[in-house]
This record gives sequence, C-alpha cells and structure tokens, in this order.
Amino acid sequence: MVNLAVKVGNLTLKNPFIAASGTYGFGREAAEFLDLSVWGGISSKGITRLPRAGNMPPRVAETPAGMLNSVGLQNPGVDKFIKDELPFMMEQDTVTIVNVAGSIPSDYIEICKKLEDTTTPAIELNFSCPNVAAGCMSFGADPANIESITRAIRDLTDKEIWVKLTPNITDISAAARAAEAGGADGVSLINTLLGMVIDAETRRPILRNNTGGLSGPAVKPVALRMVNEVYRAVNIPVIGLGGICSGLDAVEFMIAGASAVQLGTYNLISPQGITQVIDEFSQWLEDHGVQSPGELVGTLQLW
Amino acid sequence: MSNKIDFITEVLDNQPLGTNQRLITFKCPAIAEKAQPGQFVALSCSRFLRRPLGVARVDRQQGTVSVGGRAKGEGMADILALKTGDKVKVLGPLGHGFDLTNLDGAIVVGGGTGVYPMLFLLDELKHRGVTTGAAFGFRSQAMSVLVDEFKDVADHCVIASEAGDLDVPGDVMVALEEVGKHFSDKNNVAVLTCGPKPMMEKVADYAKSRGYSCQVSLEERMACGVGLCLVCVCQIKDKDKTSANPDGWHYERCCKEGPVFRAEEIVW
Repeated sequence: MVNLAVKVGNLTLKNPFIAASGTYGFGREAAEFLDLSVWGGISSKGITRLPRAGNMPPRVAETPAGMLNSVGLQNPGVDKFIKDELPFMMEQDTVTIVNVAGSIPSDYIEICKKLEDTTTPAIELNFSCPNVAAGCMSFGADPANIESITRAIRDLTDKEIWVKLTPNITDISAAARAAEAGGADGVSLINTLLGMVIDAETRRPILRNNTGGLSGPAVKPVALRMVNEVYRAVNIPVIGLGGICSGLDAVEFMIAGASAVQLGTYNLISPQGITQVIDEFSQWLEDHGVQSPGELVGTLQLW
Repeated sequence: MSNKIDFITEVLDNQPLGTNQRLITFKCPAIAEKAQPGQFVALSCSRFLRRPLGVARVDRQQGTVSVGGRAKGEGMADILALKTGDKVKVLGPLGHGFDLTNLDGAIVVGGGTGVYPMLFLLDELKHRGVTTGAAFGFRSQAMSVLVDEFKDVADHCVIASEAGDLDVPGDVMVALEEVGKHFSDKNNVAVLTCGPKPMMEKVADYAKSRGYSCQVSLEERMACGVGLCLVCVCQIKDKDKTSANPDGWHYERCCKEGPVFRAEEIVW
C-alpha cells in the first residue's frame, strides 16, 4: 500500500484529493452518504462578506462532456459561515480550506480578518467566479489586482493562502506569477470557463444568467495545459483541477505539475465516487513502482 | 457502506403507456425499502447528467422500483429505450417526499408526467387507511396513462380529458371539483399535487379556498440531486419576517429541501 500523503506548502494532506469549492457545500450533505475523512481536504463553498441569494434559475445547462453552472456564489455570508458551518468542517478528519470571494478588494480583507479568529489552516482566494456581476473573475483578469489583494491578505495572516485562478484570461502564468509575488503559498487552477448554451426553439440561453461556467471532462485538456504552464512559471505549489473523474486523470494532473488535485463536477455525477478514484490512483502508483504521489509532480517531458 | 445511495441496477420491465411514454421497472431492494412517496431517483444515460424521475411504484417484497416518463430529449429517450436485462446506474432515494402524518383524507392531483409519483402516493395512502381522492387531467384517452391503476387504488377517482373521452370533459380542475365533493364532511384533508407549475398554483388556490392543507412537488433543472451544487433552487418565502432579504424569500433546493414543499411557502 502506497503512502498517499502529500505536502502542499506548509500543509500536509493525507492524500492529494480535495473537494473543489462550490461542489461540496460545507460537507454536510455528503456526510450523509460518505465518510468525509476519505478526502485529503475540502474547499468550502465560496464565502462572501454578506449573505448572497445567488442567481435566478435555471442555473445549470448540460453539454456533451460537462455542464455550465451559474449559481452566483449563493452562501450564508462570512459571519453565519463562521458560526454555523466552519465548526462542522473543522471537526472532520480532513483539511479545511475556506474559499473567499469578494465584489471589491476590501471584501477579501474583511473576510480574512474574521477568519483570523478561527482555526482554519488555509484560505483559497477566489479571483475566478464567472457568475457574479462585480469583482471576483474581473480581479483575476488583472495580475496587478491579484498581486495587491494577495499581498494585503499575506500581511494579515500566517494561514496558507492559495489563489484560485480563472482560465478566462490570455496569459494564466502572468496571473500565477502575480499571486506568487503577492505572497501566495499556492495557486489552484482552473476555475470554470465562461460559456453559453442556447435553446434554438426559444432563441434564449438556457441559463437565466445568460452565461455560466463550463466544467467537467470537457475542460480537462485546457486545465492540463494551464497547470503545466503555471508549474513552469512559478515556484509555489500548483493545485490542479478541471474535469478530473478518475485516478488516472489525477495522475495526469500531477505529472503536469500539480502537487494536489481538486475534484468538483465529478462529485455531482458520482457523489460516492471519490473512494474509487482514490483506489484507482493508489493502484496506478503501485503498478508503476511510484513510492509517493510527490514523485509524479512535474515529471512531464515536453517534446 | 451502509449509506450507499448509488446503485448499478438491472432493468426488469419496460412497459409502453399512452403516447410515447414508458414505465420502467428496475431491481433495487435498497431503494425500494427506503423510498417514500414524492421522493425521486436519478438514472444515468448517455448524456453527462443523470435524469431525475419521481418514484411511481415500489414493491418492497420483490425489491423493485418503477419510474415513468416521456421521451423528451436525448437523455430521457435513452432511459425509456432500456430493455429487460440492461444495467442502469440509479441514485436514490432522493429528496423529501409528501408529509402524510395525521390525515383523514387526501386528494391527489396530477398532470403531465407528474401523474407517475401519484401512483406510489395513492398506494401508500391506501396502506395507511386514509380516504383518497384522485383527480387527473390528460389531453385525450390516447394520451392518458395508468388510468386503470388509479381507478383501482383511489377511493374516488375522476379523470378529465380535454377531448372529452374520459370521465369528464375539461382540465384537471374540473376533475378536482368533482372529487372534492366526497371530502366536504372531512377534517384534516390534504391536497397533494405534482404537475405543471401553473396547474399546481390553481390546485393550491382550490385547497386554500376549502381550508385544506396543500403540498406541491416542484421541478427545476437539476445536476447532482443530493444537495451539493445549489443549481435546482426555487423561491421559498422567509419564515422569519425579520430576515435580511427585503423581498422576503430565499432559495431552497428542489433536490434536498424539496421536491415537495408546502404550498403556502412557495413564491409562485
């Protein structure tokens, strides 16, 4: 049996698998049918300064190998999160990562100040949600913003800071370098790709928000390319995500340069599937004589 | 693990009904054992997401579950083309069903593919000794489904068709008026409904006018079915009037808090 533990910056995860933000709530629903301790970590639903109702439905549209969502950061707000949800997450035998989103730069600072009074070991700064009118992805599109907000958070916390990057940008490695320059401990990528699905009969988009974020196997090649590009551009750990549905998918992301991976949309189509994915991953390592997942990281040989 | 909700099941039967509709029966003792009326299951198909379908019938002795539907779209067409012996992945039972506690009488109202879960509901109500009425509406006899089954299980059943070739001519509200006559002397009557939203709104108004409680089964485009993704939300009135939201409502998940809600909670 291979030891699956990985080190990501100063965090040690029992295995490289993290539930991706926005696909796992705060773990409560999944706890009804799964032992949450199977996960290396769980990244919370994106938390904002004030409660958000989210966008009008329909919020989902299907594609041949994935889906678009336009949830729009529906969440209880940071105060209620800290009071009612974070304690539950911290009780679980898995690493908690709090995903933080804002409409203006000071939102990130206010939320992270409040998180300073909690024991969460890690914060994931969400500069990449494509479904809200203000902030978030628009910050992530500008490396200068990424750097300045990340630095402001670095100045107020010793917690691990990951910056979650948007793929809706010309040069994602510039965004990653900005996060590194601002003092981030890691970068997670990719968030969803902005897209649209149209109903020809009604001549309307399916999503009430018109556009939404594409996720699932459809985005995996884009994600692999970006993970590798970013891995070669920065010296901080990369957390890879985008369409991972199997142990082999995770192996590919780690070869591309990811120190850990996140599973998102897969949880939605196979809510109890994570245990099998971890088994597949472990079996692959064993079959290939790999002693630890860390040995895979960045071993891609480009032509 | 004991809380398994995802099963690979075998299709036992696929029965044609009405026009382009089918009733699919698969073997899954765990779901049959746990399912309650108004809950749903999600079946895999060739498309990316599973398809949610209300449970139409369970046989706990045989360990079988049936679901019904119409071939609308590629995913549903796959499911309805399943043959005896085929394997299909099924997630369930999911969501919260109808609350059947403390009822003397229940009037069940269905339209469209919303009639399927009503069969399981009527079976359960009969089992509990509740006097049942059933009102359904179809376009025509040719488009109708499960008519004999509904007549068999309900104490009072009236089926309307727009073509006038079933019990009464007109829509489901005409049938409901007829069925309702049998309940005027009863206390603790609930109206339980599943179908198109405009129909359910009228049904809820009917229930309110008679002083009956009313529960409705809502539908919204769904992804996970287990409450993880927050896509299948519907507007529910705030219970706490001091809520921060000035509009006085919030979103709840059809797949988790629902699909069955109390009519008075819903923002139509």
